Amino acid sequence: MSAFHEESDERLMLLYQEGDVRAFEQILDRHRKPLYGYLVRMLRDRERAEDAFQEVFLRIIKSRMSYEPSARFTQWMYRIAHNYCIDCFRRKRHEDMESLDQARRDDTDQRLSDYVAASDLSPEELAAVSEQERVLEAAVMSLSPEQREVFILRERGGLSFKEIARILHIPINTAKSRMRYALQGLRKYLEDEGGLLGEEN
Amino acid sequence: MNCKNCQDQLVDLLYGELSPRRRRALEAHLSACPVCSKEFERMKATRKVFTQLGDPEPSRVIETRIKAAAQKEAEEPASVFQWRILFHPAFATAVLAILAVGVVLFEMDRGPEPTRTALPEMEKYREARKLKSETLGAIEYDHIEADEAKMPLVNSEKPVPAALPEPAAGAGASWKDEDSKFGDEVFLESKTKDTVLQEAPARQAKKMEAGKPPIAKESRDKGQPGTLSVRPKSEESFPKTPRYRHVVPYTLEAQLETARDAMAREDWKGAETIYSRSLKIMPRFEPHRPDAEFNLAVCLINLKQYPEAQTQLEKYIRDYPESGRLDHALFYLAEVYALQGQIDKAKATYQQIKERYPLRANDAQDKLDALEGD
Repeated sequence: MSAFHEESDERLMLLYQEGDVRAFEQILDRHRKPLYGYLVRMLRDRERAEDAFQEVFLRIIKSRMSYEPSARFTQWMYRIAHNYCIDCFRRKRHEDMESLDQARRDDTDQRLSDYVAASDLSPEELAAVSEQERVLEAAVMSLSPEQREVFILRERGGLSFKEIARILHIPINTAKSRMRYALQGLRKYLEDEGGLLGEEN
Repeated sequence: MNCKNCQDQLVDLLYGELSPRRRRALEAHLSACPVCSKEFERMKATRKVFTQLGDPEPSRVIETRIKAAAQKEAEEPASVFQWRILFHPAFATAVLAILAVGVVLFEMDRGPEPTRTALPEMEKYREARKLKSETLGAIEYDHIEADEAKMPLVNSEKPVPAALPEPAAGAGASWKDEDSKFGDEVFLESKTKDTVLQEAPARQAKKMEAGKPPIAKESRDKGQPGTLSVRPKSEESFPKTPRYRHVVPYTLEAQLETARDAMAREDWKGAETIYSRSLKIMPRFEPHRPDAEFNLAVCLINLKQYPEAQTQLEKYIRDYPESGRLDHALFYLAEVYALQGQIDKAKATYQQIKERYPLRANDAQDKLDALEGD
């Protein structure tokens, strides 16, 4: 698999078109965390995000022959993911706030256990890390879905505003202003929570 | 530069998306304006904090499942149908050969009066019907039959929208030149009824070749009853020996087939009605759905219902980013924008085509030039 580390997504996709499954596995490996993070934060539910994650990759697999590297692979992938989320929203308009909170608690617990497994942090450090992460996560989730989506695509997905505008089918200036409001909203949230940005003022 | 301009561009600066010239202008303003510069520092600080945001991980079970699916798909390349093959010269030759044989067999098979002896009930029905049509004269039974006779069965894959508003005389041709790339180039071409008529048997042969038999050919030959419709009867609309007959389509496939036939004879309203109705009840992942959505948009354009067409095209583009017809949809959308006087949107769409589809860049540029010229 190491042979593929240097290859671009687009090239890997073409290799997969030719039948090289390892190229696809490299793509999966590269995007699993950011894509899943995007889905969890958009759908606000781990279980639904896992379904979505599977579905997005299955669609990529299914339409591999029609893929043409005319745009970046990530743009294509997030477009599929975005459409899937839109479908989900349509299907489940009546979002249940309680189950959402539950999902987020599970999420934090899950991540906590990941840290325990992965590091030798002291309980205090561990508590601090998870507390900070909890606040950041909550700040992101406090944004409107539109702002949150632009923020996540830009920060975690590494997409340009132009690409984001194409994925969401909005004018590029709208994408940028959503990003600006998102940063303002995040800042305000952290200030209200009284930490993290305190030294800045 | 004023503060408003500056604030609008801070995000670009933050993410390094400014040209060197604009960047210099902005930085000059920032060094002189404490308000804007403070705002920028805040944005930078916020962004920095959020680099510590973690990414949750999907479960390994799901990944294993995805990898298995990828493996399976790679092992079955045959399951992925390559549309491009349709435009390979060898394929065309094969279709012609099959077609020739098919036409001969079909003519032989028809005979003078096919399968009259089907079922006693059928026989009775036919007699009764004959009697009725003799008595009633002006009432036409089974209008589908009559329509079919006017416009023989037309398949399927390629709907034939003819009257697209000024469908790029130049562009249409050059799209075709690109050949085999997208497989739909016939799509934009205007077709007269006559060419469609000539092609009908070819299409049928092609369809059979594709493993999708025409609707109930057998029942068509047996002349099963269709619907009763009251309509003025005229000689030319009800020839004596209708060549194709089929039952009233109840299945989804049959409905879509009827809609495509309607499109082929430029009955946009008829096709639009069927598509709108069937899309309402069609499951989300029904494989025919993208096709139906696209064709509905084409109908709406030809019906000059531009706002609806626009919505439909935007929906299609949003819902099927992996569609092989995305470029066509974008061209149509740009055209629809332009027809509604939304020149900026039209230009933006052509621009998008230019960037995304290098092979279509020239067509898009031609359109852009035309818009500039207006």
